[in-house]
Amino acid sequence: MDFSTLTLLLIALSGLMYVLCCNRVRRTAQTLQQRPKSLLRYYGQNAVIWTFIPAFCFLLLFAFFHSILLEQYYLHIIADVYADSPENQHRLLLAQMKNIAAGILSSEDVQLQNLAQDFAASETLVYRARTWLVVLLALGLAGFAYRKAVPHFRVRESVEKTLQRSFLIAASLAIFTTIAIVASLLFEAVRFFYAYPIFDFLTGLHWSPNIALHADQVGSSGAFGMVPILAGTLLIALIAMSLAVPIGLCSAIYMSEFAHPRFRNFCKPTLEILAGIPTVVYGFFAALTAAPFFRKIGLSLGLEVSSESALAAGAVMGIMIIPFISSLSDDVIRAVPRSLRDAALGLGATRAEMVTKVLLPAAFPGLVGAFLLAVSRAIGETMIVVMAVGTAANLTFNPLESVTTVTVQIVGLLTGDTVFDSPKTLSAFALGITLFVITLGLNIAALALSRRIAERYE
Amino acid sequence: MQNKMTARNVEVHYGDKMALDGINLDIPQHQILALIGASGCGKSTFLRCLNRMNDEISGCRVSGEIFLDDENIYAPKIDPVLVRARIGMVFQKPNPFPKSIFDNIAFGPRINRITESEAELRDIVHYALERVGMMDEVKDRLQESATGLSGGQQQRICIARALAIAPEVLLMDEPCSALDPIATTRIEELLEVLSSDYTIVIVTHSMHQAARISQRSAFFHLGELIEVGATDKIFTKPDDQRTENYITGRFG
Amino acid sequence: MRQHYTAIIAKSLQARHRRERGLKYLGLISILFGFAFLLILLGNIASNGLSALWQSHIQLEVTVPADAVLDEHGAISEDMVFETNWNGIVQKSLRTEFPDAKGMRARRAVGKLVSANAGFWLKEKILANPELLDSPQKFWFKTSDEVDQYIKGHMDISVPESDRRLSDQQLAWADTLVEQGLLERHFNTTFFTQADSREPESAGILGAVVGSAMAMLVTLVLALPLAVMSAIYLEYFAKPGRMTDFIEVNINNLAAVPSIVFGLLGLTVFLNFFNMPRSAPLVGGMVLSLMTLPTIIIAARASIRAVPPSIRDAALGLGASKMQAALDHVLPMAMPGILTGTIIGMAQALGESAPLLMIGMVAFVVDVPAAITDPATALPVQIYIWSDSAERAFYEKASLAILFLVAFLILMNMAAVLLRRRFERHH
Repeated sequence: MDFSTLTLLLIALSGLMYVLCCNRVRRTAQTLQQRPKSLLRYYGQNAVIWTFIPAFCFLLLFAFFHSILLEQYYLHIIADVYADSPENQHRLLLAQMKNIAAGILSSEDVQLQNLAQDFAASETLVYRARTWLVVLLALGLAGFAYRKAVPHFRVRESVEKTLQRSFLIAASLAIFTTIAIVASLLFEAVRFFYAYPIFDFLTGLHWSPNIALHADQVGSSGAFGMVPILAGTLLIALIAMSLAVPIGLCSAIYMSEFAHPRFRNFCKPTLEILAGIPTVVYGFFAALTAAPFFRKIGLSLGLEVSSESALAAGAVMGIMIIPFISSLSDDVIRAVPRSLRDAALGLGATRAEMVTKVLLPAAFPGLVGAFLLAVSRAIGETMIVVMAVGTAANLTFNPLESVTTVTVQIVGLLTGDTVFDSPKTLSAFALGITLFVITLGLNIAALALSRRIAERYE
Repeated sequence: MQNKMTARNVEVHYGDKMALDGINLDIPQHQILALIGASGCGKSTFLRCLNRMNDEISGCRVSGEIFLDDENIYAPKIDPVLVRARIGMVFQKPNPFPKSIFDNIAFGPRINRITESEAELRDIVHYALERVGMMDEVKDRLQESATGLSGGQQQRICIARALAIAPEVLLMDEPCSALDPIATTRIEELLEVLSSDYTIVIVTHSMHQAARISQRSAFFHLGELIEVGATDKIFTKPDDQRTENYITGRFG
Repeated sequence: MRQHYTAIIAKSLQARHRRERGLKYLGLISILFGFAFLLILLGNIASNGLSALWQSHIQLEVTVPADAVLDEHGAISEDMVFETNWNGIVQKSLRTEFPDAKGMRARRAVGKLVSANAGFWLKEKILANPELLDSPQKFWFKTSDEVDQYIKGHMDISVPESDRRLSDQQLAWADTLVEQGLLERHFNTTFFTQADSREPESAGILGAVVGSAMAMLVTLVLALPLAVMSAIYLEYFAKPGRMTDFIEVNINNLAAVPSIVFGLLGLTVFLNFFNMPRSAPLVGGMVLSLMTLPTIIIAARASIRAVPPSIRDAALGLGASKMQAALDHVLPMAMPGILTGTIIGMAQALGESAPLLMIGMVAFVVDVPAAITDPATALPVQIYIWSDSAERAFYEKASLAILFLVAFLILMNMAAVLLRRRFERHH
């Protein structure tokens, strides 16, 4: 039976157990003239918990892990059988064997064919064992729950404890996700740093991963110095921020302090549309409309503008960030208490003076926090730059030239057919962890700043 | 007795709701006038009409006339910013800016461009601090943040801040409601001193406070001005039954 | 007593009010800039994309001989269908329209007028209607994308002939067909009923839409329950302390982690470690749910907190347990707010493409996926793929796809706003 059939079976069994247990408690309660200690539905829920959850967890674990374990086992066998072939061939043979077993491939190699037959047989066996284990586990625990379904059992406490525990697990998922991100990126990045020294990665001025394809190729050393990439990323983020910060902040000030309420009710949702437009659309616009436009303007001014200029991508990214900055700034400015506005106005300040001399200084830490979050977004933004910026890593701060960014490189290195053992693909993870660390730092700083302002005006 | 301000037929609406109905009130010069009444009776709303702070609340409409000396401050050509500079205001909760003590008091003179010279600005700040009797308390820490002071000190800084631009009238919206009794006493003493130079209108919740410091009192009830007169008379022989009920604590 | 400053202040006011107006106009200009860009963006894309709703067709009279399909017993034979040169039949009919085109090159040039998939289309049509065999039938065949672009006026004919995808002769032929009424623009149903294709005129968004829908379904099924459970835990059961703080910091940070990092996580953990299928909506949905989870949790917590504490206290006072109060009394009241947050989170996930690139949902997929483990792509990724293609016709298709995506997202956001308004009125 496959995964979904087994799941349906478990659901059906759980439903049956719910009814059975409720009935059992009702009947015994009647015959014993005893009031059940908990509401009937809790007995049913308890039965469902015992019947469904352990068996389903087993099913999930099996789905995640069985192929890894089976492959590890056969990798060992292959290593024994083909002891004389080099180690990196073993994985290839394993893949071939799997394809033969699936009937996609045929091979002359008798040894491999036999292995494939074994593999297919053990796969069938493992699946059959899974079905039996799941069914037995569910039935056994269902029986246990059924026996416990007696009126004097305080079942509600037990059900609630289980629920509370599962809630805790759900809440901890955020921690597990973070750990998984760090661990997986670090694992691959460390493999990269074995092949390429971390110091050279962080300080190197040349990035040209493409020449390191084959070990015997001429000039195969490959250059993985991330400085030009980081510089390009920062240049584009800088262009974006220098457009988005003044415009976003001015819009926020206008909306919170000057606009008529009716105009504000129209403005805010309209600007939110801008925030809701997918980044791929901005990328499309940047690559196919903005970049040629800037190039044409540049040419008419006698300037050489690259068709993949940092300026076009940065400007479009800036527009994307405007609503982000304006809504965050709006929140921060509104958090400044009314009494400070009153104080300034009561002293004969104009609204503009109230804003620039009181609100903005008071909201300053929060505003900086908002800008840091925006920088973090600009640095991590992918689609705009993938579509509008090139892959050549030029170390330049001229916005009219083409630069590349961390995210562009990650996408370039990891899409298409890739071999996972080459430094070229592994370098993407080194870039990934760099990106994660930078944005993490910015996010934590932003969080600390916004907490500070929240404490000041609780 | 000369009147500093005069209100004629002042009505205030918040949206469809009427908050004040036809208020006529004279505010004599260099005296303290107390506005008393139960919460929500309109006394704070009326106070905010006197320096056009209600303009800042969306949905609030004010009609009628209020004269400062002989000028209607609701006349179309009047700039509300100038009105607020001439009529200072102190609020219920001490609200110093998160700046230094000096910058707090210098805020008004600076934005209103009263002086170009730093020395003159320092004089103004020192004078304001002396008027509120704080010069000795804070003279060594003028550059420290005003938010680090105690509540009573903060409120006196706020009064000094208002005095720094030499207003003609001082409006106070329950200035002691957030303070302890000792700080309250100091503010009350301060108001008595100030009343020789300034016209003061104070909204207060405490009848004892009104009785202690004001020469005249005005009793508001449900958006109407019920009775106004010498404080002694209001508290001993009120004309209106409703005033008497309030004074004797039957409601409010 | 000092002198009053009224005169000095009054003198300063003119300049100060001028500055105030300056700031006000600066703000207004900023907002109008945002509006203007929105209009330019959508207008630009609409003007490029709406023409993709139509597709040029050529009417040709075709006779398909019975032996192209049927064996000697009159039954459909797959072998014979396979051996028939369907494109040849279309080409032959097309050439009869232009008898003056002689020689290999000219004949090939004529052939370029119709779509390379015209033969395939004819085969499907005939197999569905075998009664059309052996008699002359008039069909509307799609033109090639180049002719379609020329007819729509998207081809710059001032470019030298050698740099163009259609020669002057081919343009003249197309013009002749238009004059004869044999070349017309019809509504482009293919765009809504097909998946991707190498030929722009046969490409559609259905595959990507189904892929997106499947991924969204997985995201919803995973993210909503997990978010509700986390939110209830954090608001009702978590004891304040380091652990809870740590969870909160993690959630807030994950909400701001770049989406591509989630893609890297999916690539290393789901694909490489757990051997899950590449390019599958299942994995895409899992990655997107991890990405949207923080957004939904934050919204869910806010709306649980917005439920008046009296509700919970009343339930507890009547003897309900903490869990009962949370699940039976507070959660139903918080649900509209949670759903609002969910819609916003889902809209975010629907527009997301970067993490999907990492897990291979950027593949060229011609079939509409039938299961969540089939290779598929998503609508935003389809836009990315098309905008990367050389043909001008794909550019037009990408623009139309964007219009659909954006319209759908705006609808989702409007639904969220309406839900929020109703929710606020109830409280």
